[in-house]
Amino acid sequence: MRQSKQLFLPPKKKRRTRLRNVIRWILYVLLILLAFLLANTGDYLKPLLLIPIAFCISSVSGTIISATVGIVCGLLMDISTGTLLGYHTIVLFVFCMLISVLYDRLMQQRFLNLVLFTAIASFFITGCDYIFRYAIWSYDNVSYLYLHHSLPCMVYTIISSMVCYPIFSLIHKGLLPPRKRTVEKTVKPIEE
Amino acid sequence: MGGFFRNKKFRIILCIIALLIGIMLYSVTQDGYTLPTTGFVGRILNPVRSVSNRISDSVEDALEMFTDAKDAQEENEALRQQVAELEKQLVDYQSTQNELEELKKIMGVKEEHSSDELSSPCTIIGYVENDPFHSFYINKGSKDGLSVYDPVVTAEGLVGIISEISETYATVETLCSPNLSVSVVASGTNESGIVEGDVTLTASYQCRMIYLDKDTTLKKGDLLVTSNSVGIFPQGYLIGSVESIELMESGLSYSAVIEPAVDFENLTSVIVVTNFAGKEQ
Repeated sequence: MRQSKQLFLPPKKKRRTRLRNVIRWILYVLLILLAFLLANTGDYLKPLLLIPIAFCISSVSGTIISATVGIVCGLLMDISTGTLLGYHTIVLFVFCMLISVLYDRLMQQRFLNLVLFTAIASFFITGCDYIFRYAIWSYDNVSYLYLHHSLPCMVYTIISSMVCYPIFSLIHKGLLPPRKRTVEKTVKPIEE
Repeated sequence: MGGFFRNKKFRIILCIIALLIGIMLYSVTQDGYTLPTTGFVGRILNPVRSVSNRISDSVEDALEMFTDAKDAQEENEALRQQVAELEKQLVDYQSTQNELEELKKIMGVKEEHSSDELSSPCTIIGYVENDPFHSFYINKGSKDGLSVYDPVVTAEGLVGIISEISETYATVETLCSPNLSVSVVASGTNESGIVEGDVTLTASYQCRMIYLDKDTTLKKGDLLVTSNSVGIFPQGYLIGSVESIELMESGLSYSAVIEPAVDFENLTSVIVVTNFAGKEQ
């Protein structure tokens, strides 16, 4: 349906839209790579940056593209965290698809929505990490790891989403085709 | 003409010339000291002279700036090139020095453990994201002759083992991980035990020696080395020193907090022991 809309654009506008999309995706790829590089830098606790990045992209993309983004970001997370390949991939794949559908049909581009989704996803991922990587092996004082490791990681990820959102909204504002903007922005000019 | 020589004016000129010659002759006899009149005149004129000199100098400098600009630019360019070349040489020198230090360390380890087969130095290329036990990646893998569970060491002592490997890189699990248990012996007292990672100590890069007898003779500062040559770890590699001794939660035995010999925070390269006597196949 989204593709068919583009067919009615005049050729000049169509070309410009295509160029904007290319630039937008180059920026997405660069940001994803940057997040991956940061993830492997330094032996200290870091936010799971790939989660809010994947969600920001999914919030303005179709289901298939969101699923692909989820898979790519999940795979990168699997590599950087040294977990079983596919574990984060599945989780992000499902979350990204869900976000794409929800944003398409129910939700609006709001700062709080993204923070909320990141909070839910990071709670789920850090929780699963804690259970499957540490608690299941019954280390002594294992709850210490949740309090001093998993929980701060979750908080950092939520805070990082607050930084990611303005960056992506800036990209979307400048490079996203108008048809994918919020309902308010589309309705406002008509009312005026 | 003859009238001129007899003229009053001519006589005055002659007198002045004679006076000046007299002054000159007097000056010559003063051994470099100026005449009092000259000094007086100088005192009045010196500030003026100095100001005028300063003005002249600055004008000259300004003019030189224009005239010598091209020369200065060329000189500047040449100096810049020289600085860049020297900086490059300094970087080369520093990297060579680092390499030399690394090689010296390896030589030290090789001399100390001559029977063990060691890999070439492996550089740390990154850390496992948010791993509480400080696992890291090294730039060598199975195609460099490394395999899973190979011990990883530095000149300071044991670092850990390879927990995962690919063709081009490997993941190293450190002594801070509770997944690792190393059989150790105290170098002074010959008391043996097991060192393993502890969840509560991992943040401070420490580990714990467990199941010590109540009558343990271990004390702060005692050094611990890997004990036997059978299994995963080769014999005689330094683990660390005893930091403190605590009663375990069960109340039946003691445990010791161990400060590893290796500085995990500043680790840049490691060596992998690819083969050693008694290696578990």
